[in-house]
Amino acid sequence: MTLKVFILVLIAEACSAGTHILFKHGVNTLEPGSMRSMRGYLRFVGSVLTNLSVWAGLLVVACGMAVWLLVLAHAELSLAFPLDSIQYIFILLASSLLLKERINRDRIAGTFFIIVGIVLVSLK
Amino acid sequence: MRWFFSGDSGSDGAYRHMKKTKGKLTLTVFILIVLTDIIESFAELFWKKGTLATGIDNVTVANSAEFMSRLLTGSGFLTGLSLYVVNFFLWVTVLSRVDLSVAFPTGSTSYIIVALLSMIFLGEHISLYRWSGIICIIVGIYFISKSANAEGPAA
Repeated sequence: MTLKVFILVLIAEACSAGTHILFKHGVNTLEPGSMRSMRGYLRFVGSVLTNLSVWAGLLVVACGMAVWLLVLAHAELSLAFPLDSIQYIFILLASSLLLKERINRDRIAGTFFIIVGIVLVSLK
Repeated sequence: MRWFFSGDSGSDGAYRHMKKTKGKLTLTVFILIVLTDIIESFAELFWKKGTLATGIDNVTVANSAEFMSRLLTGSGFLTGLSLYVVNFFLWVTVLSRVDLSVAFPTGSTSYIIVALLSMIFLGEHISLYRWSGIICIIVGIYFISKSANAEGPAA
């Protein structure tokens, strides 16, 4: 992996995390979506599609995908694996600091186990 | 599965039911999260296929316009894009029900699914490392679901 590809992967990962945060920020103002009734779900879809944060998230994900396509064209994806686990720490911090989610000990422990698990699974 | 996920069924109206289970990792939400991860893997696969089908393996400033026009009109890219659109709606539904710090790590279930599928269908050997990784991920998701289901409705 060249430095150029490494930086591209980092940018793509940052876009991905930013998108999740913007989506969650937007959806937090809405009633939860339920798939039990068609009409109720369509109302949910409507409120999602008129939400500014959600559109900001879509813009960021579009940038991220463009960068990701360039990465894919350069191949050698197996080395991008460890960077995926950085994403879990980033999301945990952003959930607490930006989205004010209540992070307790179990959630930190769970995230830690998952990161270790992913690293182990990606070892051959 | 009851010990793992919080109660998922009930005879109440849908709305009261949602109020009651908001913030909790129910079996329905869990299945939705796993589904989005499986769909995402397929979407990535189609996009990879799409970039290969352009026949350009080294994108430079000079050939980037040609690369993009071949890519955007290819079937791999378009199939991947429609899967991403489906995934978007599934994912915002999930996010409207649970914390991001619950939904995101729960998606790591896909690593287990990929490992098991490649064992069953491709006859791939799962090493001791990978088995211990799978166990770690299961333990992690257990803690995440415990943290989501213990504290009642989330902010």
